Amino acid sequence: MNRWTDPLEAELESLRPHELPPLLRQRIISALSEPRRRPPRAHPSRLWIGALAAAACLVIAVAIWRGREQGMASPGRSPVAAGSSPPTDSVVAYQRALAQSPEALDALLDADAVRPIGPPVSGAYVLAGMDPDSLR
Amino acid sequence: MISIRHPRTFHGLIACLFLAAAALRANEPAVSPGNTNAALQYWQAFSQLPAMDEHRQQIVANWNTVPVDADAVKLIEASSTALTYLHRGSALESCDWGLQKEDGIMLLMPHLAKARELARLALLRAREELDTQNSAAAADDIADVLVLANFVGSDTFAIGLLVQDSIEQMAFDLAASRLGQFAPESLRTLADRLGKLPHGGTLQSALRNERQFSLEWMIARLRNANDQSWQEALRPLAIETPKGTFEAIVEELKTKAGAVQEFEEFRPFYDELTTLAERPPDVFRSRAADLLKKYQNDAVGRLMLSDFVRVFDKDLATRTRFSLLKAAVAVLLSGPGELRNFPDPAGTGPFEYAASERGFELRSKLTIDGRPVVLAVGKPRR
Repeated sequence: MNRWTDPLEAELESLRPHELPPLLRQRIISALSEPRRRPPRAHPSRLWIGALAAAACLVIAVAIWRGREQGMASPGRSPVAAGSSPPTDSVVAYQRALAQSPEALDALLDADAVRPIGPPVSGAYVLAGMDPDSLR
Repeated sequence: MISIRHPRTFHGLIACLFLAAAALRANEPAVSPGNTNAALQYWQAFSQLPAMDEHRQQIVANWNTVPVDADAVKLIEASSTALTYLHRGSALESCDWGLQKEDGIMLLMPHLAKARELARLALLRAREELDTQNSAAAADDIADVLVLANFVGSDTFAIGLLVQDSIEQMAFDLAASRLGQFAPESLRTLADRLGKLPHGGTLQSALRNERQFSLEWMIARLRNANDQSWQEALRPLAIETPKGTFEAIVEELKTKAGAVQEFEEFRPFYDELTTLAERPPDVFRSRAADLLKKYQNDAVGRLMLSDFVRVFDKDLATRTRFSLLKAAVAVLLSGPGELRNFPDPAGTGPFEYAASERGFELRSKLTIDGRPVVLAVGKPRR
């Protein structure tokens, strides 16, 4: 019976792997025959210590970060725009009123009491009997 | 089960945990927010204050003398929600207004005026309650106002302390003049609540805050200022006074470095005054007056100094009146013999008692502007 031979199959058959060099074969055999070394295994208590120490460090880092965030306000971050007149309900406005007289302070507090909480209005100075121009 | 073989490792771990706990504790807010912070109730009270036309403003401004007529009653009714929140806040033990003192003299204190307004409305309602023989409710309103006052003045600037004193003074005036109309049970309630008020502000803490957040803030602001336009850093202090115009005062400082130095030289003023505030009144007054004379004519003194002797006197008078009020309640409950338990802070014995046509007077040895501090107490009701 004639057997039909596919040329591609014939070519593939010719591509057999080369024999390994004897030296390499010997090295592989000796490496495989050595007893397997186990990777170092951490003691359970060390794992606990490591985990707890990492957790403590994380807590410290978060605490420090929070502390910085809380203390971030500085003179440069005042809610009052630089160069603008102090609002009527600011410390300095009350200090100025008191420097004039206790009655001026009372009048300013009265004016602020009836003003809705929010941005200041210059009229409050007039209500308080103070000259708005003297405050600029 | 954790087994630790090496003691050093174990000690290191414990130290780490302690450090973590300490770091967390150090960053805890002084007052935890939520339902323990009275300020959250007070802010809601402020938001519920009734709208004020001119007539209502007059009623509130003269809360202690206006007739409690239909208009006043209508205003009291319109204030009931705000006063409910006042009562809720005053039942709490701590109050954090959320003030960012690092804003220095530009710090906004909108709660000062609103607290004063709320207190006046509460005291107006207390008058109405006393008129209708409801002294139990009046005792609560008066005590609520005193709690609010103490929270307003606590750990603040001198202005906050003055507002505290002013609110307390209003409550003392009403309580004393109408104390005779309180039922014994209401007097006991009042006495109990007077004994449990939170700590308010002191001149010492106000001065420490003034130094740290007013003087030091100004120094930092000047240091950060542009060399050419450093004068603008002082602009918030600008005010026309008989002591000279702002421009003239700034002219005296000449340079930015000179200005910084002048402000820095004010540190001992605050330190000395804070120490003096712990001394007896006579010592404080004379030495503080000398200190003020030494500094008040400097450029910085003219820009920044308040009359701290006046603040001291006002606060001292208020503390004394508070003691007088507590003594008066005790006298009404148990007789003048109770005065032995209320030593006069300004004297060596108890407060003086004197019967009068309208009730009785309790007098302290303390004098302010040459006049003794006196509490006039109304007659008991029949």
